[in-house]
Amino acid sequence: MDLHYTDKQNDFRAEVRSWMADNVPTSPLESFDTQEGFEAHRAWERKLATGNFGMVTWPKEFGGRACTLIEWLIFEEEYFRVGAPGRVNQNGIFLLGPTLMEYGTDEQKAKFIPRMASGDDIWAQAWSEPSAGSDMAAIRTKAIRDGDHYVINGQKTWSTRAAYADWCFGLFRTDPDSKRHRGLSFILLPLDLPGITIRPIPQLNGQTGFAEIFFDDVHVPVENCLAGEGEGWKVAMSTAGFERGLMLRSPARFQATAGRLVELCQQNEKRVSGHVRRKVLDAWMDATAYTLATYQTASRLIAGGKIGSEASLNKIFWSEMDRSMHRTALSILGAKADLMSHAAGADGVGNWLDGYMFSLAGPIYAGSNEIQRNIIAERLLGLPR
Amino acid sequence: MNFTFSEDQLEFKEAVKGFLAGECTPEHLRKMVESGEQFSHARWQQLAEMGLTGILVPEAQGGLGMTEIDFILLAEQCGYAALPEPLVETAAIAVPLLKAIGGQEKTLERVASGSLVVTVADRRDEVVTTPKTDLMVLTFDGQAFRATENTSNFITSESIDPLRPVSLTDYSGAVLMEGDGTQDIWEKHEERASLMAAAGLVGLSQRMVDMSVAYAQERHQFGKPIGSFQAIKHHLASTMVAIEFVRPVLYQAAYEVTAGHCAILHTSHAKLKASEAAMDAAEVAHQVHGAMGYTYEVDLHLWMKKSWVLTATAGDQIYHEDQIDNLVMTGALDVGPAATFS
Ligand SMILES: Cc1cc2nc3c(=O)[nH]c(=O)nc-3n(C[C@H](O)[C@H](O)[C@H](O)COP(=O)(O)OP(=O)(O)OC[C@H]3O[C@@H](n4cnc5c(N)ncnc54)[C@H](O)[C@@H]3O)c2cc1C
Repeated sequence: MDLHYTDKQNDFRAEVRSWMADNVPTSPLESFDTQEGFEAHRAWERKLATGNFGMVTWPKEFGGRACTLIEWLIFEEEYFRVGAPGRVNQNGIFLLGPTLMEYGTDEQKAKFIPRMASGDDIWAQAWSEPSAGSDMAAIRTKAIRDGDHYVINGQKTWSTRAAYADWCFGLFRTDPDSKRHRGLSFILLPLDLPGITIRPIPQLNGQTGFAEIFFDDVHVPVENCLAGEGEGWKVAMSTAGFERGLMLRSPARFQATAGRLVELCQQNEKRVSGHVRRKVLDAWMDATAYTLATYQTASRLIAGGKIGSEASLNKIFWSEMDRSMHRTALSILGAKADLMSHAAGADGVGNWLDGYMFSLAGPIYAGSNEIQRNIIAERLLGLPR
Repeated sequence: MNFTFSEDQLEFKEAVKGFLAGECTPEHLRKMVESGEQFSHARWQQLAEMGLTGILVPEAQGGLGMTEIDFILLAEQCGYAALPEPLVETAAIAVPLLKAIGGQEKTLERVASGSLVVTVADRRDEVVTTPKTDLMVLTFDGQAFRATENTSNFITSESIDPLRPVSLTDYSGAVLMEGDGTQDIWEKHEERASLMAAAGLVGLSQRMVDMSVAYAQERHQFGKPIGSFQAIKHHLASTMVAIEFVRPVLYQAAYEVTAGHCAILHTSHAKLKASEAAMDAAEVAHQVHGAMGYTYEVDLHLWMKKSWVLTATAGDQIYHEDQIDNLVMTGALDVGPAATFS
């Protein structure tokens, strides 16, 4: 065990810090759940790519820096330290990217990864359907082979970023007679193909964070299938592993929230009760614990380990921590907490309310926390189904 | 940066785990309780023969010359087995203190050979729940005392944990250490005591989960193992989440203590969260066991009671919360990202 950064890691941190200081927009970008905000965030992704900071762990030929996961954590710390913009490209770089590296052919990698790294293609995920939520194996949307194409019919829903994104990836039923996990394939497709209709869905905060995608005889070339027809479930599980496991929510994000919460508490020192103060300490402790746990997992993966049940443990921990931190902030803000951040009299309220609303989704998306608890009980503890 | 244990450390842990699984069985603990015994001399000798009492004793005094980070996984295993003998208290808490005080070579030799058990009373605890042993080191008002039954007045008390001898004392005896540097040595000692108690609590928690899992597989209701009910699964899964997020905090604390840094933030964090995880694990385990958990019929109560005692000692929850509050809330500490490793 050695809990010191190497000189190389310290140099890397210094480089990121200085690049961020020169490049991070001075005022916050508009939300990426609006058309203008989406394009502003895309421009930021392009800027990151010019510094080869799009995804630092990727090989150099894909626009990365071949960094270790420890360096990725350092990058994220510097990123959140300065409050850099949210990653509109997250589905691509954190989820599809690693999946392509594991399962993609050389042609697929060359076709998709560089454009993903540069922000030219922004990706949406298309797993959920109206009757396939937690029960993802109930997917019905069909992709039936017709010569060198699949013909897709059906509906996906809750697809984050789909309202403005360029491409989507997800699971489709390529064997119409198959049941459950069998006969599913992992397919990538552009969202502007003929036969696709996208209907934005307003979220709790009124913005169109996700959308429904309708498919009506949509033709997709067979080479857009990843890892072979019928292998979709296996590939999807590995993507889900990245999502829950490590990449989706880097610890620095929560450390930044905890830091802001400590500040908010200090500013309101006089009116804060012992109970609330303890909640603030919990925020700091939990964000620290999550960070340490992630360094531990990263060290293990670097040493050749695989991500296992910690994926489910992590998902529960960060999502419930996030909700609790935001709720604590609201309790400190009192009556002001419910004012919209742009409204009269809302000075200093900041975006805690927005953050709280989003935190409510955390225990639901990326595999609900109930499903994660089932997984822990059955796979880690060995309790009977 | 490499946050993993070495192969050697992991192998040592497995060896100790295996030893305790064979030599510190629930059946043996029950026998001890029935006969009113609180210390097995035979087992202590075996622990000494494995080198465990002298792990942190310098090689010159017959020890293994290792450090806190080498011991932390073993301390967890002592909790897992609910080991009644004060191995952690002697080998990982008293030994480093004696080393810091200096001039204690003879005592350290005897500890390594297994002929002397030493424990330290904790001034943070209102009630002294230190096991009564051959020799005790006590502190009071900036002085450290060496106290034995001949020099000091011990009043035997009784704790809810039937396997933990406790006594009250008037804090007297031969002065071991006073004056300059005393405070610093004592603070480091207290960090170490919090750390090791936290490790014990993590082990106790894990065992209570494991016991509950075993019970939930055996016990049937409504024609099924109760472990197939989602309510039971989710209770236990939540407990596992809590335990798994104490572990890295514990290991960082052990690392910082070993490095000789001021580790109070880390050790208090570990102790507070380990205590809460253990209290929760005990309640969940109790719930999973139904009425059985409310009896002496199953072994759970021994682990529960040890958890309560460790939670309340080596600084109670209020003490540790205060330490963290003092650092986090006062602006003394950088609380944002990029400040995790000093
Ligand atoms: C903000 C947000 C973004 C999202 N983004 C995407 C996206 O980009 N792409 C995409 O494909 N999907 C996305 N989703 C959808 C998400 O994956 C689903 O919401 C999730 O899988 C749960 O499905 P559901 O909403 O249908 O809820 P249901 O499956 O209907 O669940 C409702 C409740 O029942 C519980 N439940 C269900 N089954 C069980 C069980 N077996 N045991 C115990 N409890 C159970 C659930 O835990 C939950 O509490 C997003 C969702 C949100 C909220």
